Amino acid sequence: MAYNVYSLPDCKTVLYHPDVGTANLHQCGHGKITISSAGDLTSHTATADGYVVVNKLKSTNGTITLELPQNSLGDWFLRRWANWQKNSQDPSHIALGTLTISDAAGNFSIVCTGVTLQKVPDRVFDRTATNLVYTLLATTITEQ
Amino acid sequence: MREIAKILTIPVDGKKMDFRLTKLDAFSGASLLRMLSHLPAGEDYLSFFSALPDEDMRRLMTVCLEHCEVLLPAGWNPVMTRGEWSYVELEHDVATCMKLTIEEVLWTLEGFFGGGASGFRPGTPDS
Repeated sequence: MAYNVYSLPDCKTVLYHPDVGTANLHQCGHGKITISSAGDLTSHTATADGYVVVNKLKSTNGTITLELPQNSLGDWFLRRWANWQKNSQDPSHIALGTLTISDAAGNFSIVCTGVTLQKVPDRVFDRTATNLVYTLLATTITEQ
Repeated sequence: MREIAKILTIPVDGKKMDFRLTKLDAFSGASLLRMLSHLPAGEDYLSFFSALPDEDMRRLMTVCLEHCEVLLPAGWNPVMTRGEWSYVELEHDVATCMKLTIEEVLWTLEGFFGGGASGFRPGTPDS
């Protein structure tokens, strides 16, 4: 009998931007990652008498939320990314980021391109470290 | 303070990139010396690499590349972290990786073999 297996340690999560570098998030600890599509795939147009037309919609963009431990390599990388994005004199480069998640146990990978930082997360100074939530925007989310 | 980092300009894909090489610490440097002591002396770099067993070569390159950083528009970024690429542009660039490895070895052992004794100069009292 085959079992269904899920394994976060076997997911390789890589953030890349040609001007910032690469962060292998699976090496530095990450929390929950959520990739959500922004738009619907289908919608209905219904008439008053109940006739329905099914609309096929195209939507590729979406939002990525990344939970990263404070002061981790990933936090450092994204903070550097944010600083660079704020000070960049060349806007044509800001959307060159990618996020790739390869799930070995689930046997699929998700590739997000056109990745930008939506905002810098709150800076928290507490007694212990917290997980910071970074929100990224992606123009295209594909699953293979 | 002792200089442990130096900056080197190497072209990658025809673009001049700045690399910052940090010396290996004394323990890693010593094990590097031990690795090199098994090799025939006075040969050129190519025969140095060809005389190295596979696993030593891999270990040497990994350790050396982990001590290199590249200057990207957003700042310094490691070339390799814990054996995984952090500067993927070099993943298929044998020449640059070999060059960085050799430079890192030379930089770590700089001043060890007589001649310039800069590596042994004591720090100034206020450093």
